[in-house]
Amino acid sequence: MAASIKHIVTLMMSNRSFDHMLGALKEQDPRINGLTGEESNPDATNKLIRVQPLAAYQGQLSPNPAHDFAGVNLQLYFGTRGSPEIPTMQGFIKSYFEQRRDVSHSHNIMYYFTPEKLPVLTTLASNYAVFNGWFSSIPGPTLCNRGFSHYGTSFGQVGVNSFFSAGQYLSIYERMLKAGRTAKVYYFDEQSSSLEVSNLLNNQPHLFGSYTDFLIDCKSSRLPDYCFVEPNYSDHEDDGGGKLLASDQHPDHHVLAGEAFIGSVYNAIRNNPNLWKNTLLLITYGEHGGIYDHVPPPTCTPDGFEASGEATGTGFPFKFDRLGVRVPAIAISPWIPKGTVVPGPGEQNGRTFEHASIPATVTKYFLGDYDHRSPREKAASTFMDLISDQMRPDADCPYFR
Amino acid sequence: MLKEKGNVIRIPTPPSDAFDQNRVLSSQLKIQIEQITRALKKQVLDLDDEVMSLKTEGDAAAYIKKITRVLRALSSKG
Repeated sequence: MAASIKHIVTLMMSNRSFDHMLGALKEQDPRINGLTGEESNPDATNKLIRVQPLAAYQGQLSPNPAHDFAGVNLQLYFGTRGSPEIPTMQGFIKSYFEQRRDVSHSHNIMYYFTPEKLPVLTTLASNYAVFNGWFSSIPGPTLCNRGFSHYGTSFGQVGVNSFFSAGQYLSIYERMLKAGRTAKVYYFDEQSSSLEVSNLLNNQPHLFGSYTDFLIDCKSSRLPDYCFVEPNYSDHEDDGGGKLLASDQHPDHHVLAGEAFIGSVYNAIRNNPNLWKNTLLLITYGEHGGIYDHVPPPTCTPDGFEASGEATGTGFPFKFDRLGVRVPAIAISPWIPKGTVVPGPGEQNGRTFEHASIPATVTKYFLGDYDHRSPREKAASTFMDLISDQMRPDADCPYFR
Repeated sequence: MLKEKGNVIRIPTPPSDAFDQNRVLSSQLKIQIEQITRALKKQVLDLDDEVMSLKTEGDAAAYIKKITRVLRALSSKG
């Protein structure tokens, strides 16, 4: 019964693939489309290197693995002619090797975490709804992918350095405000600020608050109808000289700092009983950060834009007709049955989600009919149907401390 | 492991030596700096020399804080 939900909260982390973070859960629950241990990529000596449960919290992924459009194209299509063929997912080691020319180090890109190393994320995945088929929106870098979560499109941009100019379509926040609803972006603090600078922070400062504001708003039941939470993007000192770890999980930031941040966002909602029963929290990642995942990204509804061969860096244009690499996504609410696994493409009743699913869901739920959106967003799957008509007992839902 | 009794899960703490303000800027932070600088340039300032001097996450944090404050103040007036 989705009507019980009054708030939707999105927390977007950075640069980790589904298999890297959640792939090991397949051993506990075969419905989860994770790793069997047999998945592999060839290395520079043509030796097949299998995935291994050796991911470390920090120190393994330096330099930062490539995730520009051309880099991801190599990761997806190595050994084939490229789009529009189905990606082989065989080029991750090759791509990482090219950054440091170190055969042994290039194998790190195949490493994944075991569940006990990520107690927050894996507990949430096992206790609420985990998506087998949530993909980043384009096979490319951060800001373009985040554009889909705010606007339902990147306005034709695929580049690392995207200064896209919004206007053709309103952001989900502006749509909400125009309709008399409430919406906000909470960035961690001023030192970390927002990744949504060029269009949102520069033009609509009233949309923004800090993470401290988020905690206060949760406690005082003043959370907006929809909000987007950004983690801390850098190690820095606060105004009192306290040391703040980056919590975005972007390599090579410490992954446990991100675990703590995810737990903090969850607790802020969970600890207010009125908010807890009225809120759906979605946790996902902007893109895969160049790290291995075994599921080929499917084709999708074209976006109505085209990026040139020069912009993609591959020599070939891109019509926004294929999604990016799969990322972790978990929907959390006491109205979601424990152990829900949302099947992905290729599975029975499989569904495909991507970041345009976020504004699509928020728009459909809070605003109803709203036509002026990108073709991609209009076609995107929505997820409020995961809300059941039965609220789980409090003792059934975990706490973190 | 980390599970405790009932439904309470303990969050592990990162080690204190994980903090590194001198970590070299990632491409993501560089882009954020470019974005925030471009946004402010539209408003008033020439910041090229200052941006060129930013090398670490600590540098980035101080710079981003300053520009965020100015941007929010300027945009609020506008």
